[in-house]
Amino acid sequence: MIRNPILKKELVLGARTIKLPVALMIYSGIMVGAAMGILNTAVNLTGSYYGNVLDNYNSLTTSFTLLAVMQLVMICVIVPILTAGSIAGERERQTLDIMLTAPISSFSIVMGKLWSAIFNVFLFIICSLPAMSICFLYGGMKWNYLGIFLVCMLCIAFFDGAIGVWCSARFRKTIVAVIMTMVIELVFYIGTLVAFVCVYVYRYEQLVSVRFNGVVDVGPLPLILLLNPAVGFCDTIFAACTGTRIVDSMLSGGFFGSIKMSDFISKLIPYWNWISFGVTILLGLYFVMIATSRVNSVNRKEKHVKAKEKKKEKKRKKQE
Amino acid sequence: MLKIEHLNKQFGNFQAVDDLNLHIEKGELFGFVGHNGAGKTTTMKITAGLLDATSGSITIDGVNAFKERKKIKRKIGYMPDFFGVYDNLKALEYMEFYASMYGIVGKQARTTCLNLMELVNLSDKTNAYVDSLSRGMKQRLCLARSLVHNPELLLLDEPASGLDPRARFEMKEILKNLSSMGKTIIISSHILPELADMCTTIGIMQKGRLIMHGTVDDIQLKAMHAKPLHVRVLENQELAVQLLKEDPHTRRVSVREDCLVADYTGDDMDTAKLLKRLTDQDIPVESFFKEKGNLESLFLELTEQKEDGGEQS
Repeated sequence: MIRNPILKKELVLGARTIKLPVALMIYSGIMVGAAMGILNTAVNLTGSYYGNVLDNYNSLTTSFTLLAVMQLVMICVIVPILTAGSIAGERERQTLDIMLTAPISSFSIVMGKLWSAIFNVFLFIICSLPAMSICFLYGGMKWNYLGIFLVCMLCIAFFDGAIGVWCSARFRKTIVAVIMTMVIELVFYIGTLVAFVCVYVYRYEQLVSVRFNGVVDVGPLPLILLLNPAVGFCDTIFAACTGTRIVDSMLSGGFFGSIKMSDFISKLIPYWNWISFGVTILLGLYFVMIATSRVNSVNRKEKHVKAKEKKKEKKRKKQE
Repeated sequence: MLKIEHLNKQFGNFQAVDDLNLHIEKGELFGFVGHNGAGKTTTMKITAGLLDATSGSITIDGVNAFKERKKIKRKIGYMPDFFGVYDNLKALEYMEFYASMYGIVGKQARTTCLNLMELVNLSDKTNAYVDSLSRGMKQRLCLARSLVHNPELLLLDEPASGLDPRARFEMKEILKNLSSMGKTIIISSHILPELADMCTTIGIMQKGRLIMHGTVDDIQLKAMHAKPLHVRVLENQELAVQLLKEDPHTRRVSVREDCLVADYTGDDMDTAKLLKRLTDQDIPVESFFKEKGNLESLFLELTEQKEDGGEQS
């Protein structure tokens, strides 16, 4: 990875622009503002600066989870901007053709772009650590929370980055790639939740009209939430920091009645976050593969032609 | 070195390259000439592995370019007609970045890049940002970049386009220098005389077809021979036309208001004999001359004929 020339070049170029420090400053500013806001709210709620604050400090430990979710939302916005111009930008500058005449593989080009985006995401997260560390002042926090948070962010950055790189390879204009990356992210992050709720409400209405025993049967629908990395992220962070399993709460208790789950899904719940991140990484890898195929259209066509020729040969042999 | 056989490339209904056959020997400096859209860039891109061909084959130094692309990439140095640069990269870093893509890193990369920058007269610009270089300098830097892995075949797509006369001259000198080093170079341009100055062989493309191919001397000779013959007679015009048509070197005779114009392919001796035949028939020849041929007029004539659907011998 370190020897990837594209990654090296991207990091050098990124470090030399004014955009990165400005973006880091804005990002850190928002995080510090949010942390101070949470702190201020918690203190005001207790009604005293010196009395009940210390007694209720446990409530402040949840601020870590709030800041983590906030970072997730911000990273989901930043990653498309970082990655969507990666391949499209090379194409717009007409430097992609030169790259493709070199013996470097399309996979290396895509991974170089993706890793540089992930490095930048971690730069943003590291810069926000002073804001996050406010939570440590009040205790109740463990170092492993931070470790879990960083691992989760790595998965999310990889997933979002892979979508961004694919859109960048798929669409010729950077702006189109940015918009499409955000649309696809919305489908995964919001679309899956909306689909889940819609089917739940639809099934509830159906059941109410017949005979309702307070249990809504949604079949295998909860599996759709495995496609949503945010559910896995929140489940992991909340489980680590507060001991609450988000997925368990979502699935066992609905809006109007509890959800009837199959035994299979019930068995999945304890491992939900692991499976969710596995699915996230697999989806990310899938986007990387299709981006690689897109970057070198000649190889893609070659493979297609070879596959066709093989099929024809097989047909001939069968006929013989 | 380069063997292109029955190469075809179709974009939808548009035939960009039409049954192209071309053999280029090692060490040759080959000039590809043609109008915009003639198929030069497409041929170069297919050779460089950036486009797939509809049919046909390309062999470079005995290696099939379509089947062993990785091997071919190390044999080819490609310079596109238009190339972008990374604004925040210094010239030497730009070179080293491309060197690293060929697995050349560390001291070896530094030495190679510095040597190449010296070759293209950019030694004093190693620490300058690429964006701050003039167009001519960028072209030379890109040429040096294409040489970073010491390729045997150089594909240069209009390397002198947009350059001022001084930069063109410098580019020409560098290319001649490279040719003398034994590199096989293919240069495309839409200006035939520009290539004639430095190329050993030239191919003229029109609508995807190679309509003329040969050494610069051959093409210059054709340029001289293919020029029209102007004959002005004071009387017996019909007889003069008949004599002109009877001559085996005449392809077409047109009668204009004040003179006869013949497409005449004969050499100086043939022309002299024709004049004698006319005067022997007591035709009063007032003027008799052949237009001076040059490469530009030959190129325009050739491509014009093909546009009209005319035949070319």
